Amino acid sequence: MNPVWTLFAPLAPFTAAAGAAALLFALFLAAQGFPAVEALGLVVEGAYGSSFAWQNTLSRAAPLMLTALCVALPARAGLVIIGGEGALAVGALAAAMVPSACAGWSGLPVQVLMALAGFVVGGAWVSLSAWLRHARGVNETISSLLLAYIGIAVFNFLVEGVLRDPASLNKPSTPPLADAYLIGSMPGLDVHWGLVWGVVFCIAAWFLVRQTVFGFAVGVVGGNPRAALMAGLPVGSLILASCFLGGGAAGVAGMLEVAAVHGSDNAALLAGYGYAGILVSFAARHNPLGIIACAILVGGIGASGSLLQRRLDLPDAATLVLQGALFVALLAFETLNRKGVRRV
Amino acid sequence: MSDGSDSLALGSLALALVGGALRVSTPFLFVSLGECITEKSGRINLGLEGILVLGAMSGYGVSLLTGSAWLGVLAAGGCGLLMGLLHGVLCSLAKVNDIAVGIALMLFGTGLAFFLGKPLIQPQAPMLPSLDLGAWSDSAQLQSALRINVLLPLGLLLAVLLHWGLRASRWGLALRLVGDNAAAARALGYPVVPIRIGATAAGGFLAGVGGAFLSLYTPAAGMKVCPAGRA
Repeated sequence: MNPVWTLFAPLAPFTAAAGAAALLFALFLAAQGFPAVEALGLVVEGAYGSSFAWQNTLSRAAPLMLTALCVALPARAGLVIIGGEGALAVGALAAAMVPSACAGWSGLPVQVLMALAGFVVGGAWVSLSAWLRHARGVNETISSLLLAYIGIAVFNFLVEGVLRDPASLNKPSTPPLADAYLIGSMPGLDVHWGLVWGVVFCIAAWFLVRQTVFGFAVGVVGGNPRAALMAGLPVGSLILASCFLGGGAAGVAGMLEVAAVHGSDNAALLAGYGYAGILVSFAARHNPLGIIACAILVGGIGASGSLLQRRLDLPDAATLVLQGALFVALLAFETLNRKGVRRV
Repeated sequence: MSDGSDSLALGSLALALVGGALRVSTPFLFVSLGECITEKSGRINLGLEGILVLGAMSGYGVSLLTGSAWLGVLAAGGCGLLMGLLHGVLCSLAKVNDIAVGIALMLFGTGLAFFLGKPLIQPQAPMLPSLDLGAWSDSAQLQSALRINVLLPLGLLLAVLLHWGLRASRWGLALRLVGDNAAAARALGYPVVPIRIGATAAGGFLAGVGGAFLSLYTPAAGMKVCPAGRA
């Protein structure tokens, strides 16, 4: 095979799936009398057509990169974790509580503490599923999904309860962060620094997975847990650690949503990044570097929603339909992959 | 406070609990029964949440168009059947993971339901009737607690039937065999893949019916109130 082909062959199923999803979406719109071709054009324009669109896309891609890691790192250990939304919620909760505990501190230490709090709490939340799986044999997919519902409920309970700022009347929120603790935009752009965090986390995750002994050991556990036990690997600790790191990434996504986007905890913060992160990770086939690109793709679909609403009067769920179609097509076209890619 | 009023308060609390449980349990019941059939065949369909929401939307829409709530229930089941069929067929391809497809269908079904259901938020569709099991009582509380929807006894009956069918019938044995030991089932000549597809489709049908309850019975639910009701 010539080298160009070997470079691009792994992308073939992805390209085919993206094409099929676009076709499906176009047919779906055409069947209802919407201008399908124009709609597809608007998706591209709304996602990447202008500097404004790019900034919108990148702002959405930042949390997606982190929540996708919450799927990709456990997947490396052979676990399907879909509770990133819960880790994001409890991470945001923990991060928002930090400033009240260290009043009078300067900006940077508090921001670091907030990120740490989000990381540890989000990681612990997802580790619960890993522990249940390892110690009690509970299916980690179901338990992480149910834990996500619990995390979201705890979030809403506290934000509408004891943590509520009495001044937030019609939209229950925690007290707003002081300006010194907010994470600002990158110079010259309307994109917050979270994008850099997301990219750095993804690169670090790639390095961890591909270049370290730890990453290799986790890969062995994912490939064959019994062989890993035979080889003397600490399977339980490795599963717990990979889930902790993944959940931590989602928790940091929650912290960023608090400190860079919303400024406080409120219901608007849970916008489904945890669920869309699942799609991103599967689209990237759990490769941390691929996640960067796929997050920009999926973030772009989300960013085009308002343009579709304004120009064609489509319902706001149109982007959800496109994402769903893309996800279904991606998985269906996985069957075309002749190389033995591991099923997770 | 006297003992009499205490026991009265406790009694009405218990009554409210039982009444509430009877009211909200129906979608859980149907989705669980559907997932039970699917999982007995050896597959997991996590997309039932999406099917539930899609069933709620399509049931409401068809009930509005045809004026018959029962046709709405049927349409909801039909939509669920199609989604289940899609899941079953996709998972029969090589290298396709059933859990991942379920998550994808959850996203897809919810998106479809919210997209197509947008014009359905305002108008009022005909609702399913309710059964007044408490008509014999003078107590208004007891009456409202025992006013149940028609789908609940249907679901309970179905649960008993399913229990019996899985234990004692030929197809129940075949279904469990396919789930427990696909190789043995194949050796006995059972078509493993079609049985799994059929079981997933049947599970989707029941989840769709459970969704129809959400929109066709729950008072004032309309289209936007579709709770996370997966079992």
